[in-house]
Amino acid sequence: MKTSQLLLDILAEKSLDAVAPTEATAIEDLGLDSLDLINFFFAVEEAMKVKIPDSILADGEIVTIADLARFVDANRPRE
Amino acid sequence: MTTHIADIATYQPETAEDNLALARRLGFEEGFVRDKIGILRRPVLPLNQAVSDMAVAAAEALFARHPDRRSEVGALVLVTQNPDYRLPAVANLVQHRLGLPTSCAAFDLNQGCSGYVYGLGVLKALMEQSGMTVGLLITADNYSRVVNPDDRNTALLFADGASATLLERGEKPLAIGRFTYGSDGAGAEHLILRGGGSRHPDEVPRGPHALHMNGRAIFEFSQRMVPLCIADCLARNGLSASDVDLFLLHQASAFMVQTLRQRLSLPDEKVPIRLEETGNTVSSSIPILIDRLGGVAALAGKTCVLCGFGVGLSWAATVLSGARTT
Repeated sequence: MKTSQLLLDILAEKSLDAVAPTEATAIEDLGLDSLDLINFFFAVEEAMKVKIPDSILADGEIVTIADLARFVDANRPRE
Repeated sequence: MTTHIADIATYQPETAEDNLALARRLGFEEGFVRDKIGILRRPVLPLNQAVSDMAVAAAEALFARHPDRRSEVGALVLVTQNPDYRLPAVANLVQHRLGLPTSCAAFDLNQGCSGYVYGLGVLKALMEQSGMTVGLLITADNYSRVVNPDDRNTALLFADGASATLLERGEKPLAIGRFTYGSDGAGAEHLILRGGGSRHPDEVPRGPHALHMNGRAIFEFSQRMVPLCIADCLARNGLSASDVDLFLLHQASAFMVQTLRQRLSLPDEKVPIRLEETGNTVSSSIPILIDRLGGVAALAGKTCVLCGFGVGLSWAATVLSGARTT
């Protein structure tokens, strides 16, 4: 399964998918408050065995779910 | 013979801040405060009072119900991170103000959100080791004095309060079980205060003189460690989660407790939240929660897990068995 779909599944599992996001949806448009966002990032970190730095959104390199999926793919441990 | 909790009394100042008004000033939506923070009112200690004043108030409320115990206290453990002075210990001041015997062991224990459970463990061990029949555990903190009122990470959370717990030896509920403890100073920087003191605090809590909290790091620590801590504690006490009636968790925020409920796969009614009128009172949050649930009497016949976690980073859990042991 594509990583971006896994991220969307995590959003749905956490009931954080109120806006019916796609991989092109900007993270800041997900309608998540700051606590929902850290809950989402924590779930991604646990599921993907990757550390998401605090600065990831502020840096501007990660905007959409697809961007986050690319980050995860580039940083998760190889099996 | 077991050591048990005979009674708990609590104290919070009557003066309070309106959290919704503060939230508007800080740019938060009302729904976020109601649903996620879960705190509408934060009791705040007036500037002319210090931690020892709250400690004495809580203990006097306790002794009003148990006047004969005052002269029998063998040990006073006082949990605080905002002592009146850097020295002496608040416990010594409070021992004198309460009129406890001078033969009473009295000392402070510097822990925050895990402090109530740590205090129970230390006092229980001391009483059992020294043959004491009555012990007094006090928790008291006024984080309001060290929080930057403009800090969106902390300003809406912390409130001031104290508790006093009477421990006795004998065969009665609520018997205190075995403990799980933990510490990881690698995370110390995530919840830290580098200056201050509650009697003569720094005038303006800013920069190194204000509480700093990395909310994301504290959230992740809690989600990872609390389930492990509780599982270990249950195993030490020969229990499974289904044997437990109530999981009394440190009341960090509604969001924190709600997410821990989900992670522990526990129903809402087994993991109560009582924050709206009290705020996060750090080491006093568990005894204040018990008070809000109806006090020690409401726990009769119940098996409860107590779990505190936070600044340190530090965590601890124990079991209270509400069933009579005789």
